[in-house]
Amino acid sequence: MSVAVGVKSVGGYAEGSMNSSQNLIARIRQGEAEAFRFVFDRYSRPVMSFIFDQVGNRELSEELAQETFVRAYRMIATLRDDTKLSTWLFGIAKNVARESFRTRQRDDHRVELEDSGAAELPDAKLLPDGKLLNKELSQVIQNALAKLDEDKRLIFSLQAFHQYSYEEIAEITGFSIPKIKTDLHRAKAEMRKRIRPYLGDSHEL
Amino acid sequence: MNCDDVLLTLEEFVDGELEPIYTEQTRLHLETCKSCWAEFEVLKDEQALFAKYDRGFDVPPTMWNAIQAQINAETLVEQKSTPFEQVKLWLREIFKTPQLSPAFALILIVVTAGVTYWVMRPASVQPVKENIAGNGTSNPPLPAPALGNNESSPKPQSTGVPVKSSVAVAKSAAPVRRAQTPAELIREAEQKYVSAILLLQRDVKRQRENLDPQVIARLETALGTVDQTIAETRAVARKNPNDPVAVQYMLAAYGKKVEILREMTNAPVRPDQPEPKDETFPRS
Repeated sequence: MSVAVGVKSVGGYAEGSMNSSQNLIARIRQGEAEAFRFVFDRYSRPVMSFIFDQVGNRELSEELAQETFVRAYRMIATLRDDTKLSTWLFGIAKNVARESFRTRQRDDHRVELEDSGAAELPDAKLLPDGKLLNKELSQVIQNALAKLDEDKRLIFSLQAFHQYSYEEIAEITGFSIPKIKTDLHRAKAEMRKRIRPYLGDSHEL
Repeated sequence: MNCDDVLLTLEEFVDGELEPIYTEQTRLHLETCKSCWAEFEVLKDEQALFAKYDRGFDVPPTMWNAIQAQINAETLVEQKSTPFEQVKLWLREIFKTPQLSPAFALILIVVTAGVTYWVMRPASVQPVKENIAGNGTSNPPLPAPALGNNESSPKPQSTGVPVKSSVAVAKSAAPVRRAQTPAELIREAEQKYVSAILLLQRDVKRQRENLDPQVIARLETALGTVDQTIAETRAVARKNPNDPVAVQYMLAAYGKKVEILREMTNAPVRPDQPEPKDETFPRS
């Protein structure tokens, strides 16, 4: 038996020396548009995915990702040199998503997922060998994620999908490490409980 | 480490978050314990399962252009906007962040209330009448014959002084209970001047026969001019209660009238009139 455990990269995204966070920040501050374009190319997909995990709607997550980058550009001067660009961006994205979440909560008092008709997948979606196709699996995960409460969804998404360390999650969310550990443990238990029925024996959790 | 210890921290171990000393102990335990190893495999599968999560979309290629356009538009607005508009934009940005809003709103309310109170604090609240009466108690009355009536109220030593001090008192007076409108404040200030003028006119009337006619005539001419100025500035201030210049001119005209009346009460007595006697403390 060989035991391999997760090795954390920097926020899950490699940051080379030429285009390191510090380098990019300095270039953006000097007004180099290309540097900000580089940041966008590197982080737009994870940022938009993260926002989608929080709001559950593709159009809205596009809009909010755009808002995140505009806000990041305006706030680049406030970024401390010792702050990681990726965690800083995710912090902004978290705020943007939460603001939107609160606004929508006021509007309709509940979060609605896009394609909410697929909230419960019928057994017919299972393949003969009991396994789910990736697409269906993703739908199951998305539905299970939507049922988590706001804090747990945020922490679970950052840890399970974006591979952030507890310390980085604390930096992004402002939560304490003990809260992160507790919420993450509970979120995983809830996710496990909701996903298990859709998995065959080979995916027993 | 026993199985219970390992299972308790197995998630952290899989996440790579366990402290190094426990990581090594867990690793050693897993290599020898089949049941804990099975649990470890489940968690690793779960991790792999979540890694497959595909949201089914890509970043739209138009997003970068939209971001650029928005940044350029905002930069243009900031360059064109006046300092006041820039403050508005800044405030709008602050209130975009809900978790900061209550704190900022509270600070702004406190600051606004403080500034409003400071700006709207009353120009005067202590009635001139009371002030003059108060000062008069220690002043000697004029001789009864000179007054030409039976008034027993004491005459102020110098009518101008109490009026002047009443304005000074008014400036440091207690605060009003509620914020007054500019029109109310103007009327209040005007009323104070009118009260002071009435008192001074009464004093002038009482002393008139004893005062030097030439001086009185000269001062009455000046009074006529001031009365005309008051009438004109008052009409303008009524039409423009929010115009500080109009209000200032009107109050200055009232102030001038008070000054002239004070001068009249202090005017030299006629040469044929006796010096007033101090009846409170008769000369021995």
